[in-house]
Amino acid sequence: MDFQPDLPIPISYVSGRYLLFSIDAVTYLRREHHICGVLIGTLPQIPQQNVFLGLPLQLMPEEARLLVDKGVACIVDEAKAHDGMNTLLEEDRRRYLRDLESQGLHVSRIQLDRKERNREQTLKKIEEKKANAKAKASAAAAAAAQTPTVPEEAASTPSAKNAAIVDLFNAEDRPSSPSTPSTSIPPQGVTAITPATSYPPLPTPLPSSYLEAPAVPPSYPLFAHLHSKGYFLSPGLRFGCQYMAYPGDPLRFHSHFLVVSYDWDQNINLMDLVVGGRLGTGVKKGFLIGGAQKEIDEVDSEADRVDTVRAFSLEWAGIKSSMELMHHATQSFLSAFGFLIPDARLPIVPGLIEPGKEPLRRFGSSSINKIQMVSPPQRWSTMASPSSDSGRRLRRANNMWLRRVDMSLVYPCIAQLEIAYHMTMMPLAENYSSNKHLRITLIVLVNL
Amino acid sequence: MADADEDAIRAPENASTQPEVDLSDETQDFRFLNHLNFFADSSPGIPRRGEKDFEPNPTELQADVLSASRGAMHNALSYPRLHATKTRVIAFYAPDGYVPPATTERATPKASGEDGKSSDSTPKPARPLPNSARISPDACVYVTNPKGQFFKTMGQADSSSRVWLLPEEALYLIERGSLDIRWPSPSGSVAGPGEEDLSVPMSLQAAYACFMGRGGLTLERYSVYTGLRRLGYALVRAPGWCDDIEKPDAEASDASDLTPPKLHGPGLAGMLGSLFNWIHDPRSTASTATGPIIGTGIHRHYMDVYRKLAIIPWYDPVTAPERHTSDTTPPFRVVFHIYKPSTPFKKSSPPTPDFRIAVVSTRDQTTMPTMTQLGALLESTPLDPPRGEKMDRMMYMRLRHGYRNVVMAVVDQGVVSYLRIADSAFGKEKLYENKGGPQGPKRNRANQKPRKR
Repeated sequence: MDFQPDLPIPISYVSGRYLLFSIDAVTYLRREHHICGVLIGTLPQIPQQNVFLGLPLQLMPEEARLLVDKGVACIVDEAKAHDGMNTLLEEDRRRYLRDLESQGLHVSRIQLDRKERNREQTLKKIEEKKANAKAKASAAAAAAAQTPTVPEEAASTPSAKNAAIVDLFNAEDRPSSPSTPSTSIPPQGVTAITPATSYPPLPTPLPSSYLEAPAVPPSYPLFAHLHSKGYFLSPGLRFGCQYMAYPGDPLRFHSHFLVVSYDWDQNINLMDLVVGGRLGTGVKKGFLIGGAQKEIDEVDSEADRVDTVRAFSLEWAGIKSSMELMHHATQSFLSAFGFLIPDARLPIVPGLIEPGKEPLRRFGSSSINKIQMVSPPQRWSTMASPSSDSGRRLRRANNMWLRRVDMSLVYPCIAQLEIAYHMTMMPLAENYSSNKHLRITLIVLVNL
Repeated sequence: MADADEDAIRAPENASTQPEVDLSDETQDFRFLNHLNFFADSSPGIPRRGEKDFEPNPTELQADVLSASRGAMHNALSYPRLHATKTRVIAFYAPDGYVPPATTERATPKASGEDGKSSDSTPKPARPLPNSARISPDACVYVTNPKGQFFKTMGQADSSSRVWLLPEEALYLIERGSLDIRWPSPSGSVAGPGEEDLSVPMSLQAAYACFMGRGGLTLERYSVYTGLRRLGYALVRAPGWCDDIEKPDAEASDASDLTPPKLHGPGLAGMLGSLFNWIHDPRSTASTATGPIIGTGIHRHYMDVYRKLAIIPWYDPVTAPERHTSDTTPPFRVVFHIYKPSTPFKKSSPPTPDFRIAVVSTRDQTTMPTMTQLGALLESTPLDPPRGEKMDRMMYMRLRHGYRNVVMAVVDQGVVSYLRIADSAFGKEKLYENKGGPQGPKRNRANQKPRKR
């Protein structure tokens, strides 16, 4: 199964987009290079649904570029390559048709086999039913004999079917199976096959015909950076971001981050941060922003820019009616800006009591005044190890993000987010608490 | 504990939202596909959403599950496109597009009337039928033995009963394994009986290479086409398909002469203009300058007062002029007409479409449409006012339905999001005329009031 295709893998450039048609290339790139792309084709076996899609696989220009830069893939202009079909030699055509025919024969034979086997199994089942009926009719002695047959039958059914499936696929992959004597031609004639790729009959494209590396959007450095950290990335507009970042193969893992790239000197609209943070939290993901520090004219190549990328994640903690959670959130929030809370315990504001819940602790304006700016924040450690039980969810988040905080990164962030403090602190304290839903923006800085 | 509580609260909520989860929203674990039995006669069901892990850990178990998933995916994707002899439909690729059948080809001309609507089995007369006129010059694949359900909604037959397929139709059919397309025979030689063998079947890759980009077909448009086809909708190209459509002749040019003065007419953008004028022109609100807005006099009814107070101009979609497709800017232009599976569809005379769709590629169009673009797009669709008993009763249904509507498919690298854009007429909903009492179920006036603005 771990098939290794010949490198570089040709990526088809079709009408301005990058596509892959070879299943081996798709599996290989996914396994070895964490490139997933998006399947856009119809699965011929169940064509009327959109949940599972098939080949071809569409690659983002970023993905194609990454692979080309790594030397794993090359770009081939497919329309030009297929002009070669007209000039195909007659003997090549004949050979190709013969190949397809033998594949078709093989497939028909497998299908016939399977039909036969299914029939046998049904017959066997009927017989067994009969036997069971007999056994029931006869005494307990028969019951002992009956028990081993049932599990055996249950086990053999799926395995036989799986074997057949695997066999069929192997046949498709490697048509040159030795056992193709044309002794038993199926009665219904040869099954025709539409191959997925055109190589063969077309010759492998020459290096001279490769197109140059794809043009990429300004978000490419962040894309490449996250990819180099082991994340799987996929297009994210549907989820309100540029890329979705998965910690592992999206087949098995949910994504962790909504990624949006900014230029280094770009002014970020505070509203975008708030909206992104809320969106991310709403879908249980972190909102990640980042960008490359150096412009393309300051460095030699795109790859050098990737090294200068920094990424930050924002999380919006919607917290209500839990003292401990609030305490931690407040502390984290303030510490993130380099503030220290002089009083570890926040004052209880009377009158803000929800029926049936613990009293809300309010983050009053008086306590804001007490907060002082201190130069290196000393409370990072307390953030990383919240100790209460009720803070479980937050702690999970804290542990995950905060464990990885790199102190050297904190300073530029504080400078960048200072404005955020001035603009968000007051409304937070005033509006949300009077709303009885005390919500605090928790901004956590992460060095991924 | 807080978490336990929260979970308990969330559980029923999740259960209720579960059926609405769109499985195609995210990557599905292909192992669940294996639970479907492709080879059974019964139609396969769609698998349920599978469990996924939070993050990778170095356990063998996780590695095994992942490799099983990948194996399943590999298997599913490498399933070949097969054509059993019985159901096989062979098509031929015509690189030069639609060619009217040469006169010599018609070996058996039979005179028969009304062939335009007759079934495929009836040979067509020599004279080119109006049917041939419907064959798009972009059609590049023809089928000589059209059979199967697909040709009810696809392709156009020419006078020698060959059905010509558009690139997206051919590509969709070859991709789902329902069509065997052949390359034209080598070097243009007329296929003799011996050479017939040498027409090589087209691969999926070749089909993409040849059809994509042909006659305005982009991968984005195709993604929308095929995605909706898979769900059972029928799609046909709309007049806005070509980017460089011309206005229809002299009559239209007259209309365009008239358009500039109409700028401040009741169009969506013109509405803004009149609002602007209203703010800056004190005379239109002369009555407010000289006295109370409602005027001096006796008011016996609140309705009169409200009516007088309604001085802010509003936009009425009904009076907006219908605009031609050529007024729209290319990505924001209807390219497909969509028919629900339940709509009786006839190729020769397509009914009024159920939906109209515009396709936008996020990599080519990175910004939201402007008001002008959106207004032109909406006004290029026919008026579709909310009708029916339910609509009359429920105001929010009316507002949501709007007076014109269009679907915008936003394609981000193969991932399609559909947005329905409707032209709602808030100004037409006179809340004060609604004499108290709830309008819809569970809605009271307290809820409606703030919505008025």
